[in-house]
Amino acid sequence: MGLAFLVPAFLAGALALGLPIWVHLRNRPKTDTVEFPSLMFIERIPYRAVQRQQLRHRLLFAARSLALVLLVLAFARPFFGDALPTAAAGGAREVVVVLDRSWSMSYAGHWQAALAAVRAELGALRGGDRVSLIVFDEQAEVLVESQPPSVLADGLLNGLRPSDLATSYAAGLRAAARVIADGTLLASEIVLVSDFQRSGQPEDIEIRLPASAVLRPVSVVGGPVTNVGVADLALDHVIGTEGPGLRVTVRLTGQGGAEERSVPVVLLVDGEEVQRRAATLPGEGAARLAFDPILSEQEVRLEVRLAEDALVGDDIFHAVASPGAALSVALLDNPGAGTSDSLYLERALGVGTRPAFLVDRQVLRDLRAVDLAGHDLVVLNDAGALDAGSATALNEYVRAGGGLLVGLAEMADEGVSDLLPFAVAGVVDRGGALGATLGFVDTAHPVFEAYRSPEAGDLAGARFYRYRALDPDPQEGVLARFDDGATALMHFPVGEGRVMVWTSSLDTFWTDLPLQPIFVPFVHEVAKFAASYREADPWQAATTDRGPGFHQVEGPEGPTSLAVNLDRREADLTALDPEELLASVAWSSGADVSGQEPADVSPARVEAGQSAWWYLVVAALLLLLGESALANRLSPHASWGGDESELPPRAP
Amino acid sequence: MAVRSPVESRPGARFIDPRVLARIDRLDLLARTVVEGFVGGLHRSPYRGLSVDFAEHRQYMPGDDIRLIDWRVFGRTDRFYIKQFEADSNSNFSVLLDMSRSMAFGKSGIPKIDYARFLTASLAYFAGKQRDRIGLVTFNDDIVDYIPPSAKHLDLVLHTLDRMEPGGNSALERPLWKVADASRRRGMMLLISDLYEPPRAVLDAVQRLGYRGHDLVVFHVLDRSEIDFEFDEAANYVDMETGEAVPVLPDRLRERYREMVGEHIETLRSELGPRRIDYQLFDTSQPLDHALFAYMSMRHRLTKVR
Repeated sequence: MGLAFLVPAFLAGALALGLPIWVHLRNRPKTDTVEFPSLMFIERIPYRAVQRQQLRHRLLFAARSLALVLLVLAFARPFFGDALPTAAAGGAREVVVVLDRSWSMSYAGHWQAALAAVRAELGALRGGDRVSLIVFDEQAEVLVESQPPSVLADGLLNGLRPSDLATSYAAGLRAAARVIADGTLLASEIVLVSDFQRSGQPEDIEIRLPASAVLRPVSVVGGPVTNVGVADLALDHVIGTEGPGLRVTVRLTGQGGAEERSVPVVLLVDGEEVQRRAATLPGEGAARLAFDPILSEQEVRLEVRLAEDALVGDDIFHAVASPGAALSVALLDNPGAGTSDSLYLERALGVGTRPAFLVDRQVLRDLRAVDLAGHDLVVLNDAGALDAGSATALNEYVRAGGGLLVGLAEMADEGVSDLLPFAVAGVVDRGGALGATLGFVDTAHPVFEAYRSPEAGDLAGARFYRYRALDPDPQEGVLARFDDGATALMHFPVGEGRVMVWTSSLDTFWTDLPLQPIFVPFVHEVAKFAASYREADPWQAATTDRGPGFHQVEGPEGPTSLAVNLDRREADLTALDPEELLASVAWSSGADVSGQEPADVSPARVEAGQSAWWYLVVAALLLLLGESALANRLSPHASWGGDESELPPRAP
Repeated sequence: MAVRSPVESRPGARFIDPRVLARIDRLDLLARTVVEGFVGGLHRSPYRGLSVDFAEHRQYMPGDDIRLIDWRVFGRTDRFYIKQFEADSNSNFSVLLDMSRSMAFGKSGIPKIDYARFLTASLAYFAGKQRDRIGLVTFNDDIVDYIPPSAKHLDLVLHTLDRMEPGGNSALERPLWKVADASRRRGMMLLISDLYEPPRAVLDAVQRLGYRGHDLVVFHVLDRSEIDFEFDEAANYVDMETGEAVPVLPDRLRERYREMVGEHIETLRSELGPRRIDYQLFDTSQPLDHALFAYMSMRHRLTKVR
């Protein structure tokens, strides 16, 4: 256990010990002269140079000198040898090889170059050196920690493969820092073997290494890289002439190309090629390619493939497409109604895909159950008189779980009333003034929940000139009322289904609501609620440690497929200058990367070994207190150093 | 023992500062300034009559003592005249002036040698007006200049005073013995010196003159700093005459020095007085008029004795 100093330069302060002695010895009688008429009366009192050149109070001087020495030692921060790692004989090093195994390393030739570089580093080790091997992608794994190089068998390296994860230099270098901190050798070197992708170095993550360590990057990139990959895939539900379908759109990225090129793209559905297209891709950039809609009412597995290039991982993109939610709406018009009567309603339902509304417009005549089968919602838009058969069919349809939206307007009569628990009374004409407005809206209800925030839309902006009164006016299930208190929108259950009643028209005859911006979402929400539509539950666990491809997982409604793709950030092979990475590293103390200073181990451990300075300071203070007391006792004599007996005899 | 300045002992007295007099180049003019100013203020002095021999009449001037008015002349002429008397004549007045190197010291005011020079010139001028014969002896450890007393030697005395430069070591015995041997006629002798000799040596030297029947006055001239020793810095103090250097700490020495100087002065005063030798201490900040007072006092006393 040897004694050393953290700041040995402060030991130079011990030279101050010589200062009082030097001043003391240099103190000579002054040479100023004064001419005086006669020295007959002047006593001969010399400066007592001899006495002053001797140390008069040796104890005081010793106390002061010792206090100064203690302070100098305290400032030099002494520590004992076992507080820091001891140096191995012969200047042995702790070499930490940090190997990038992210999936970008699977680029043609990069992985082989990386293994060759690691072998070269191992071959350059000297006797006594210790080696550690860390592989990293998004996470780091210490395969070998501080072992002699002979332990690192070649078979270990041969068994390594690039992973399916992205790059994180921070993960690898932090693991290296931990290994060095736990090491026992003074000199340490981190060899980072990587393709140095810029995407692996987020700007907001700090990498901190011991000041004693040397970071040496080794790039495996031998030349310019070229790559074409599928960066993204988007699915859109479309309603085509042949029914609902899926449109697949892919985004392709190109890197390192010299000029614009044509890239063949293949779309596979459930493993079978269904479409092949050619995308025009710039040398450095991106392009989009849309396939024709796919008609499918079942869950399908989609794959978009490119021709394999140097980086295979991004040449394929997987996706799972479910048929998605679509509501089938039967829009029943009065036989005498014109095409414009349900125009606004039909157009509003035709907007959007989540869910998509598949409108089946029919004329209300001799309605039968078969006409309503397969529909999620039936809309009676001022349908007029219902015959008994139609009323029965509707009643059964609702009771079986269907949804019914009834718009009361000009043509509403008792036939409709048979479906309702109240009578449809006369028309309330509010056209004499500016029309009625909605005075109450239940924003807590899902239908109007979207309008809860003030900026979501102004329901009160719509004007209602006429509407039907209900008798008796319902008290339950009312979602909106006009400003006079009359019911505007209400619902009630019937069997398994649900009936919603809108007391005004759904066109522009009695109201300007269809002209308001809120009309489309209003219709959508009313239709969804009436049809008892429910969003599919999100997957509770969608992660998998398996590689890219399709995986069968257990969902809340049974087994389902998941598509797993590689992290597309890794496909960006834009290079990071290793010097830039070095510059971004924060060193734990100072910026010295020479590797000659002791390694910076854990701060608590280092500080614990350097606490001796506290004791030195306390001892110095105590000594100075004692010195003050002693000096005070001696001060009357010490100030000049003589007494009366030393005076020469009085002159005659 | 603190030595009080005569100036301090005469509050309200307004005399000419020696440092002001030093600006007057001509010694005779300086002497006249001192003496005439001194005489002009004598109307309040108790030493008005310096002689009983009538000399002449002078027209009364405001400020003259009315007791000196000659009423007989007034009766005849109806004008006021005052009588002026002839001073003692045929009296030798010799100044023995120490011009050793130590007399060149002057820290608080003018150098002691200048003060002594002014003093001698003023007294010589004053004595000349008294019709005394004036002589001068300058000396250090031997006689440097010797001007025998004569009624016509005022100019020579003044000239000698003007050109003399201090130098040499002081030793009273040898020059004063020579003066005693050379002075056949009794007279008044004034010794001006800083007297840096043991009192015993001073007494031996001065007493030799007394044995010759001379009336002796000793003016002990010192600089104020020689009395108070108000020095601050420790330094090597060099004897101006011998060149000997001694490191001195004034703070440590001051009180002892003052005591010793006080004892020295008291010893001189106490030893000289019983021997009918007047002793007067002057510091160089003191107006010269005090010296004239002292001279007149002595003259008055001697006149009475005679």
